[in-house]
Amino acid sequence: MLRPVLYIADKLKDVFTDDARYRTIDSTRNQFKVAYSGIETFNLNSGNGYSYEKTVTHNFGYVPQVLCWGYSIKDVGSGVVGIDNQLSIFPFNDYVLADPTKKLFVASIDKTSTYVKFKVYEDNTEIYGADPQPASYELTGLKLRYLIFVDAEA
Amino acid sequence: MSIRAILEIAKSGEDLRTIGAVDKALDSTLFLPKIYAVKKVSPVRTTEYEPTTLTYAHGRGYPPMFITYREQQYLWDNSSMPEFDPVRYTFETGTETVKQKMNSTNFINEDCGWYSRDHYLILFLNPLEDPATAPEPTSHNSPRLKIGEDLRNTPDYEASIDSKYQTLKVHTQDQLVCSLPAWNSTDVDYSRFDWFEVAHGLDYPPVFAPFGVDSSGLDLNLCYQGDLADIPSDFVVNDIVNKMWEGRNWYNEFLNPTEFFETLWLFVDSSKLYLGYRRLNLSFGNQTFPARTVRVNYTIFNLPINEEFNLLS
Repeated sequence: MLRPVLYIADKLKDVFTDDARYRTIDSTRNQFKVAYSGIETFNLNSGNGYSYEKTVTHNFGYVPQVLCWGYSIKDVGSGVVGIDNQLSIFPFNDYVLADPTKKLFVASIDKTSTYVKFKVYEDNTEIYGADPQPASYELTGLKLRYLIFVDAEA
Repeated sequence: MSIRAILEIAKSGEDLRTIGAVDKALDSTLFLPKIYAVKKVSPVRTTEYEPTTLTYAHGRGYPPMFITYREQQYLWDNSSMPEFDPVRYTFETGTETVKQKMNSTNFINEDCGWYSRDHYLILFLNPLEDPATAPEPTSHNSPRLKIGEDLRNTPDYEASIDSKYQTLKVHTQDQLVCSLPAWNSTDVDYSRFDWFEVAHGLDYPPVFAPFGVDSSGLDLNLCYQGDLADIPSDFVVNDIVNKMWEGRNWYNEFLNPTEFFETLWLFVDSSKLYLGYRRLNLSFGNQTFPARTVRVNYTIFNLPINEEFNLLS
């Protein structure tokens, strides 16, 4: 049985004679498509326990592919932790001064068959032998940018 | 009420009248992230034993979405570790303390390791943050399919489909199942690598997922905050990719929490996808590491990691 196809090639490439990787559109292959996307602005402070979560309920019945990027932290001088407003890909950790006297900054994703949860928080773990224990730091104006694809992990 | 034209194409064997979005190869009601460039970024090393930097001025005027892969000849770029011939590529996020970062002018990594090789940036036209002034739509001078609203006045990245740009086209998806045998380690035989592989059927190293297992590897002790019996006998890598970053402080919480370490890596080269698994016994005694079944749900895309292009040039 014949199946209609849609091929579109890169400029200066031939859809029939050049390798398939030069097709920008190829209906014989799945192309990853975004179901949900967004930008979130949030703070970490004593009011929220230095923890932020953004939950997107998708109810796909399978675990989707996800990409997320967000701001991290930096030393803004005199040991004060501030926001680094450049975007890094999730998941990641950050320390200021590579020193556990400030709490570990965690950027992470939970993915399930019904929701995706983006998490940014300061880790409250007590550090062995540290005196004093790690201190929290307030951050105002953190951001994260996410894409949740309709396409499954496998 | 205005009528909106849409383009939907079902995956092979599916009926467009009855399927959901996941079974459509193309669906203009959902946007396709648009890849405008793959760029090789080479590390700059000014003096030995000093941080090696990566910088690329992308020219977009806003921070574009990106993912990165890193070329390695040796595991950890360390010549005492297993060598890869041909070279392999792994997803990259940056180190524990030095991230890869994107701003409105540059992609930056302030310390990618003393012996780091080339990195490859997969750059999307879509912004991480909206620019103060939206760019003009571009011309193409070649047949073009573009679907979206107000196409003459909005940036190309606002279109749901634009055939000028590359997309994440799936070559194959499957699960790699790795049967790790039990291993009796000793004070002499204290480190073991097991490698598992699957041919991807392309003749170039392809962009691949899962995203997030980077060149430092996935530390299973941190993922499960334990060792040996704390790590399941059967687990899926995709389920724990983020757990390592949540468990990072476990090494700091206890004095010497373990002497038995398990780490895995994911790589591609021009013919295969690899999972490497290392078990390490630092107790100076005997220890049996249990058998495990390690599964990874992978996606191979029809896009070379190491073939540069720029569709805006």
